[in-house]
Amino acid sequence: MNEELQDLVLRCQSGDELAWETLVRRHQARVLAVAYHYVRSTEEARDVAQEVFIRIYRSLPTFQAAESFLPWMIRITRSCSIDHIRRRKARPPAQDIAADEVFDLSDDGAMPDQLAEHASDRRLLGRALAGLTELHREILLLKEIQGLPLLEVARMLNIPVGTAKSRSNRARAELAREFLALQGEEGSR
Amino acid sequence: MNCDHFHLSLDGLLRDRLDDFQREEMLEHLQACEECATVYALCRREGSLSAPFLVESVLGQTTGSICSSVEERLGDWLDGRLEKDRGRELSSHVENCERCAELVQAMRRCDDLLPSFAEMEPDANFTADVLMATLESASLWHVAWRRLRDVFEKVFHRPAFPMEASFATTVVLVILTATPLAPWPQLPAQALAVVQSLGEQAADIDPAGASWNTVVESRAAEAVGQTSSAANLILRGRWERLRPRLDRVGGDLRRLGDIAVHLDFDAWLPAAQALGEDVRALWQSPATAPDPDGDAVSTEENPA
Repeated sequence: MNEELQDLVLRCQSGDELAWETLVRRHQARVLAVAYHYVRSTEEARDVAQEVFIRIYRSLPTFQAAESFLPWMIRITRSCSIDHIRRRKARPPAQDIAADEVFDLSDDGAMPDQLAEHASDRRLLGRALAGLTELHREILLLKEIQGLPLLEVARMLNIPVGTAKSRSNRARAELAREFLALQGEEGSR
Repeated sequence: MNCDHFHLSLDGLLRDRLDDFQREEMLEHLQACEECATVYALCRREGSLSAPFLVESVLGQTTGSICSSVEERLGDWLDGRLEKDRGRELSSHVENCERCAELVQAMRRCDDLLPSFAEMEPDANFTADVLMATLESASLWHVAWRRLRDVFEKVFHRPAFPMEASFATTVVLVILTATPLAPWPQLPAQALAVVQSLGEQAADIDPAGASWNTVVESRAAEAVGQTSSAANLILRGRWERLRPRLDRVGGDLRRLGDIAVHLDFDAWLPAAQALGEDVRALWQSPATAPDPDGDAVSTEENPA
């Protein structure tokens, strides 16, 4: 944990409200993105993210500074998201691919070529991610998107490190294959 | 070296592209592994080493395609986590396998783009809602202020904000100073006069005398006094002139009411016309319009 973040967490633990607001502002986008990857709905992700921060606020007094804050926060987000999915099981699932609207992946014809290509690839990648198996998507989310170390990912998913490593490799290849297939579909239109 | 690694580097061996160490390893494996020796012999017998898919065709007849086992190591290879010689073997395969080369390219593109999914911008009220739900001492106004601040921040950061703000300000200024019923029609002229006067005063300033600040302060105080007293007088004069016009409109309406009660349709048209005329006169009563009783009223009077 870097010194600035550590200081911020310590100030939060001592009851500094301004530090808490700063912490929320700094990490809300990340928490929201992680929650969205699990619940696949903007509204529900917002609810989950709010719940995450409430839980973080209540758990801060017992948080050990030696532990890394980011993995701890993502672990709480994952846990809240899974709880939320379990609670909503009785309800119909949310729409399959809302990634376009959430990540602002819509095409923009007025953009320069390079930016338009970037946006188009990003949109395809959002779809490719949505098409992966749950485990592969989760591994990619934690390791490649959120940048957690393999050890942390394995601990979070409760699997051996070797399995996490091979699954991560397979997930990346599967994502690339899916991405290529979508590119092919797009090109043939 | 195991069989997988041998297959990965077989093409290099056949084309004599391996370094001495790798070549040594390959030959050692050939002596130890009968199956790989058969594959190697098959490749040699095919003769035409220039055929691009020779290795693939031989592997297809023996071990089958090795691309799926390569795919599982591509991630480590791209991250530079493979041992040096294994990395070379994999590079050799990727160079000679169109399918794997395409996959590697796509993986690189995905690796570039994936971090952009790490964050998702929340709505303007999210922080305030979290703070309200967590901070025990957060009073209502405190949260409301934070929410308002978030909203304003979003508005201020929009690229079109300066243009929209200047447009809205212009519209408000025009309504307040340049429309027929504007409460402060003389404000622009007075503001101009103050600015001109300040300019003249600045030109006459004696460096050893009154400071520029003193001049500005005194001029500003005068301008404020003039503007407020001017506004009061203008409003009062405006009301005095509008009242008879309003009386006329009221009379017209009363007359129309009588006509409706008595069903006097002949008188209806001239009365409606008179009402229309009076309403138009009321609307068009600009600052310089003559008094309805015929007395011209100059609103250019300087109340100060």
